[in-house]
Amino acid sequence: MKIKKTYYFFRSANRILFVRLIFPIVILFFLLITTPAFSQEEDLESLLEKEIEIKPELTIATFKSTRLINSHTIERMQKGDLDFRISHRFGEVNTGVYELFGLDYSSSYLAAEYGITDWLMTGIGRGTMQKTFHGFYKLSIIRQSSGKKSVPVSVSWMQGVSLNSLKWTNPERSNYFYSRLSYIHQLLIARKFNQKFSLQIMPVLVHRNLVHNKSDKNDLYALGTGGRYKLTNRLAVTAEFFYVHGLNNTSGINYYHPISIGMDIETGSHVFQLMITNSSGILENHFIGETTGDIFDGGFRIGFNISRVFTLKKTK
Amino acid sequence: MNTLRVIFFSLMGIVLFHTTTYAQDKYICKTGHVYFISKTDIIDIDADNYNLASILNTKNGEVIFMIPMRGFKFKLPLAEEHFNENYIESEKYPQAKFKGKFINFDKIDFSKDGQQYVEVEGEMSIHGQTKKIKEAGIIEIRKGEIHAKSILKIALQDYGIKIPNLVINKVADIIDVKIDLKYEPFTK
Repeated sequence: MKIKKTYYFFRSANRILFVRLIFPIVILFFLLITTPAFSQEEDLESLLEKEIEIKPELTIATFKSTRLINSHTIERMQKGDLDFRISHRFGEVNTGVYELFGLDYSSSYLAAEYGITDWLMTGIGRGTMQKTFHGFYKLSIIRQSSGKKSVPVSVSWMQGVSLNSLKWTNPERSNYFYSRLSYIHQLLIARKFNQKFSLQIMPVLVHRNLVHNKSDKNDLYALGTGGRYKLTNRLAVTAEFFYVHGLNNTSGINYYHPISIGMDIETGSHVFQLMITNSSGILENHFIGETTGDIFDGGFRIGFNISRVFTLKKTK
Repeated sequence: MNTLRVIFFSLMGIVLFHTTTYAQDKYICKTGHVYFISKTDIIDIDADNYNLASILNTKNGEVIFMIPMRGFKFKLPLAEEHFNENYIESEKYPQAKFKGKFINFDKIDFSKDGQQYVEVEGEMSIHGQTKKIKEAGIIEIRKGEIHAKSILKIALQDYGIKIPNLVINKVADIIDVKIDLKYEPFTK
């Protein structure tokens, strides 16, 4: 009985109305909603753009090298890459013609640094200042990335230890091995704002087991900031500054906050870094705690870093 | 009753006919393979990219390719960084694009299984610069899938990519590129 009711409509005079009027309209409607597909045909480009999803990409090359000038950057060696570094600082410019404006003096640091994984690197080196042996590791904790879940900054953590291997100035005193050691803990936070400009903030704690004077502090806290601006694809200007809390200037030697400006020149697998800086130390425990150059008195010096990267293991 | 059936089936038929013809016109590939190599006496630098996206319209012979530059993975990590930072400038120009048409379109039969020679002409954009190119390739139809292959040469100079004098011996002026992709019917 129900079925009869349903078809009652078609049995009436309305049936003619439906077949002749409503049916063509319905067909026309279907034709209309399906045909626009044909007229869209020429625009393959926007069609494809809708189909491809933009993948999140890690930001690369925030800085050209693992060092800004003296300080570390958030950058690390990639897996299987060996970085051979030669760092050199001349003497203070205000020493005059006799010392050829500092070129007669030298302080240097040689290092070999290696990327164990893409997020962990390690390095060892030897510096002439206090005949220091140095080892460190750097961990990439967060990487800046673009895409759907973008991350605004890169964060790295660096820890190092320096060993002063000078002969004891006071051999009769009871000297301990651990008095030779200094420890460095540093957090590096950087953002690559655009292709040219990157900025970094780097708080650091330097602990020295033995200091020169009683009034010197064993722990030095410093807050650093630095950046780079690319002039061309292979040339960039850099600058860095550390404000050191607790510098002791009462013992006769004046210590200053380290400040440097530099230039990065990249040539394939080499990076040359030329700089003017007020510290002769290249390692953190030296340039944070023992920077002696007064920039207002010509107490700055010329220096350079050379970084040569060798790929030992090719990635698959 | 009969009229109703006729109405129903003809409606279904129209709808089906429309959507199926639409689907068979276009073929899509999102994971095409691009390989390039720069060969010099000193060093060969090569990279693979599995993110080539393309749509092919078999009705009028139009084709489009998009290649995300960050998708190129190098065996030398440093080369990858330099490729993105110094040469291709992938932040500024994130993708390469080709928009073109088959020249010998009337001779291509997309319904026939087997290999066919094709020629494509169109505009290639790399590193923000566009150039008209004409390349040859091979299309192979296998069970409704369209496989496409091509080998082409890209002159860096044509796209404003400069090689500094210091590394001029390490990067080739002309890069060999291979593409290889498999299209599937595009249904939407």
